Amino acid sequence: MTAVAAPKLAAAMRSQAVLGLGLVVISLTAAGLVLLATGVNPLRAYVEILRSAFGSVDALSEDLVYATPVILTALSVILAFRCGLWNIGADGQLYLGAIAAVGLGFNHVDLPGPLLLPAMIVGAFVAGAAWAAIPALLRLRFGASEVIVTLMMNFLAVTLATYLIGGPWASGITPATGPIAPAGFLPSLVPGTRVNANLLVALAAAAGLAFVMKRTVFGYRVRTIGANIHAARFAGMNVDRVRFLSFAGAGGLAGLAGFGEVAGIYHDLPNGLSPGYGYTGIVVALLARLDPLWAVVVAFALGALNVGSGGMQRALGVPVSLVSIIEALLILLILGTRLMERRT
Amino acid sequence: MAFDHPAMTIEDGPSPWRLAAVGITKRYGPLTANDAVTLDLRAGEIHAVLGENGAGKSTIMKILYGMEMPDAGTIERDGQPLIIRSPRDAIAAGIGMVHQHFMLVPTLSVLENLILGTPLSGRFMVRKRAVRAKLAALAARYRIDVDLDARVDELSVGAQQRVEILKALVRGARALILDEPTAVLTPREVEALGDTLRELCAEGHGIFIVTHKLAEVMRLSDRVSVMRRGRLIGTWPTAAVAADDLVTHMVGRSLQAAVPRTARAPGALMLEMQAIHVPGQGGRPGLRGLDLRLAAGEILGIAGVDGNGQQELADAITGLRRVTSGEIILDGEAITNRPTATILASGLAHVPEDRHRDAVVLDFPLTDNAVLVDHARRGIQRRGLVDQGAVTRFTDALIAAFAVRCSGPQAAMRSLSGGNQQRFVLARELSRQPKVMIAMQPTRGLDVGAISEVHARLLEQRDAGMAILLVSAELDEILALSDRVAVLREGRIAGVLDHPSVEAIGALMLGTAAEQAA
Amino acid sequence: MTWASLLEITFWIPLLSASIRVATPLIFAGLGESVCERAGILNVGVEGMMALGAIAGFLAAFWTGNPWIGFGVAIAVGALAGLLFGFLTVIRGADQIVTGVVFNIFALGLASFVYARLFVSAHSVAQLPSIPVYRVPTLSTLPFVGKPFFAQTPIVYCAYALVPVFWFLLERSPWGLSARAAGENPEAVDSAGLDVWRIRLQATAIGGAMAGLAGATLSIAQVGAYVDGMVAGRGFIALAIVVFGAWRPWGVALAALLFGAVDALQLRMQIGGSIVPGPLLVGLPYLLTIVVVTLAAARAGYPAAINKPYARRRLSRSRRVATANALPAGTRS
Repeated sequence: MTAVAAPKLAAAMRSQAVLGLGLVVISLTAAGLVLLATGVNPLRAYVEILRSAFGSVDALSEDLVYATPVILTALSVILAFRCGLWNIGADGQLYLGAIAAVGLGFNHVDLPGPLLLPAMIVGAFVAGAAWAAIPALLRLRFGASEVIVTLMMNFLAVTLATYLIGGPWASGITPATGPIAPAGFLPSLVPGTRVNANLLVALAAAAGLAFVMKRTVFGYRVRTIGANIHAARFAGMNVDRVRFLSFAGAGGLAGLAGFGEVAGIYHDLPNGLSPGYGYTGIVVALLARLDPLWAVVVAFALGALNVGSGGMQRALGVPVSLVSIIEALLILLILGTRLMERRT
Repeated sequence: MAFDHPAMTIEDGPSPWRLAAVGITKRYGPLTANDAVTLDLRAGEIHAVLGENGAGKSTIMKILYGMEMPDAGTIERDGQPLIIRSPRDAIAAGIGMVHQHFMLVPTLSVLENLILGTPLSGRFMVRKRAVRAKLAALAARYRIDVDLDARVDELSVGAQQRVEILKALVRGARALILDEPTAVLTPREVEALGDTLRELCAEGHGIFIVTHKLAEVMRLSDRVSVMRRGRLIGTWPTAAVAADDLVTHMVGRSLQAAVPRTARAPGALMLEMQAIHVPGQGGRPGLRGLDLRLAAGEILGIAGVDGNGQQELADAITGLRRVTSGEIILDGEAITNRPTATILASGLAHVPEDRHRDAVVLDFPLTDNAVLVDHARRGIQRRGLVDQGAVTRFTDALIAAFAVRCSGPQAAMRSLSGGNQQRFVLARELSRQPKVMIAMQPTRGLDVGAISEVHARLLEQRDAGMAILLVSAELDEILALSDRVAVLREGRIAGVLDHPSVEAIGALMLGTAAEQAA
Repeated sequence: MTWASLLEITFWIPLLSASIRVATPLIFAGLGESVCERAGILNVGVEGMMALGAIAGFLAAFWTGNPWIGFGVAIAVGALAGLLFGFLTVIRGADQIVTGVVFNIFALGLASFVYARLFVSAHSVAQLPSIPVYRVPTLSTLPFVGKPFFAQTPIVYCAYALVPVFWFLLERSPWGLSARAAGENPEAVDSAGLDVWRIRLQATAIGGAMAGLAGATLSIAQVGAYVDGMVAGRGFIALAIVVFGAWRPWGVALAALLFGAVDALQLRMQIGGSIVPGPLLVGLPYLLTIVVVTLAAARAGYPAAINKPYARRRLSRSRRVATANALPAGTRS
């Protein structure tokens, strides 16, 4: 059921890569028009983005810092999506992971130093998974739309974090909780930058998810359920169980992102911990066509775009939200041209 | 003047007209669904279009109704070309269609369905009271009995069909196309439908009936056309053609009297169902105390009108639907309400009715489809990892065993023809060496060659001692393959016949309940 | 807040007033979304469309000094956004949830960008004058209900009026009949000679326009300014309201009132102090949404064809050709 013009279009642009690149250009042009309309020279803006994103070691390291949580939230979205469920809640699960990590590191639990970090990792994963288990249960047991429930749980997670920051865990000085014990700090990978060991966790998770999907029985079940849930059921797969585990696992991955932000960057739980990493994760997952390894690449690209536009904002006063426009426009174009046909 | 709006101008009486599809060709990729087909329809006649599944009957009717565009050919009325590009055009031209799967909105009332998209629905406001009288009058004139205020999803299948016919008439149809109208009807309802159609003809309507059932053709039609593999074989006055000849035209050769087979040697009891109850859904009866016994080395055919519990029967055995009471025993082991995986592992194979939906993953390569059921068995899986080499070897073996035509084990399931997909599914299910197999409509949508091959495979397995439950809406298929025939009606086995005849089965399908129905 | 105060009318009347105010944008967005969903389109992009309506309405009202022009512009921008969403999902057959989610990112980004570019960098505080309350003669003097219901801004009365209008549109008009049918069985609608795509596009435009109006209600009528994140999930709550209201305008209005009441109560309790810490009370409407969506899901009344693109090959020239070929007796328009 392709649209009328599809055969011609397909012939003209045989290579998807060409079309994809074309769409990137179109969305940059469209965003450029928005810039022009608000009185900014788009070329200057884009040059500024490139310079701020790639112009120095510091810039590059910041790209990686941004990419780290986004890789994990993207993997989270991918894992859920692969078995046909929407995880719009990665942002909230990230918050829960951060809350658990801070809770453990904020001298609430007496753990010997070397055990603290592993405990924080596990705690963050479990907290994210538990947060995701709620919408999964409501969906699988009662049929409640996981889209709406996960979205609402994002708001609830932020509410909870705000409460902790302002109340029981308040530092009293900054709009953040008190700091975690130094034993809970993740080592930096490149001295003098904020690139931390959670990047390795994210990369390992991407490789691991790719492996699970391709090679394991569990991954096979997830793929089958995503591609044809009826056939999966007829073949005797325990569909609900696999979907529940996937969704909880997805929450755990997002929880790890929260852990990284706490242990690697902030060393406490600040207000506004996530500038929408969960939503960027959706963008990354879609652009990577649900491939965990491509998600790493796309996350880095979007990291660069974000860091770069931060520089642009400082230099030209152009708001960072330009990035959301470019990213979303690109995907909307892809949807409109049907470049990203269903692939599960 | 032809094709008047009957609701307004019926007093003029019937006027002659002739609708024709001339030289219609339609291709879907490599498949030629219609090859220069010419058919015509005149006022006051019933013209049956006969052919097997996939002969191209539905395609040409969809073209007449504007749901498909022909690659070549024209549609003419009284010799004038008629351009039909959408159902809207067809309706405007006085053509109406009753689809095999009814095009009704289940949540709306009969009245709302009837006026949907017509001027009767008003400009600013739906005035039900005002249109009700008109609709009731129209229904009365054709003696079509419907409750205008009932919700469509509360109606029986027969009643829904009447709504569909009335719907076409409301839209001013003079030429009516009925696609497989009797597939879902009881014999009694078929009678009633025949009466309605004759009534319509008397009023100057013309009717195309698309069917693959010979008996109906002989009983109902004035003329008959036979299609085979996209071609029109010929058109004859029904009175002037013998049924045997039509069969030969339809199949392309005379049917062998029966598929060659050895005498029946039933073995041990393999599957037993005792007083099974399954709640019905959507107006269907479910299962209401069904008893069934199936032995090794026999094919038990389940005959019955679609929707009398066939799906529920298969779902109950496979554990896909909860049984509320009763017991199912597979080779001495109670499997009632066990998980599907357990049931399949204990020796059950399942060929589902809806192949694309339930039996395969179209977007997956054959390799992934080959291990759909058995992906966790030893040899395929080790410590949670899938052994890709083993999967490929297994897939190759399936392809070889059933001569599946494909580009290799990595070919996408979607790229295979229906017949080859079914071969692959059969190969997969039989590779599991089951004790019992449920085959639901195993030849639906296949071409003649694939059908006889599937039949041969089923008989071969029966001879090898497998117990096969064959559920089919095709009586011919049931008769050709089954050792015994059980008739399913309203969720129960109405009777089991050892030496079935069409008449005996028909009587059971009809039952006493149907006497009150009509 | 003391328990004794619960017994006093002075507690309830302002609470009811606030509930209705809070419910107003939810009613608008919910009505529009119920039309979309009845026609078979799940528009998760309501949130983003509300943000666009909020910024567009605010800008227009700010520049012209006339709030009503602001509402008009917001409606137009919302309708355009709805059409864009419809183009992607109805015509191009893109997944409705993907499109909606991404559309939100786009729209929230665009709204924030435009505002930041035009106002934040200019360091000017942009505040609109508040819309005066209009007391409906006699009705507003009724005991108890008079003040909460009939001493509100005219935009609230708009919401009252639109509920029956949408009821008529959906349940009584021929268009509503076609739209409902398109949401249940688009094939049947197509085969009845109606244009499924057109009906669904009209529905998304209506949905977008109402979301735009809802957004403008927030920015123009309630806050008097545009603030980033001011929609704050109300678009998603509207989705839940539609489900809870069983896709019927009156049900949607009642569900919106329930949410309005909970939100108003939550605000009151924060001021008055309660056993639950204030910052956590903010989460009450979101929690309620989850409960409501779960309860309503058990009832399972979604239009059957929702979130399913309809994809018979589209024949855009059909209508023109059809008229050229119309039969003399044809009575159809």
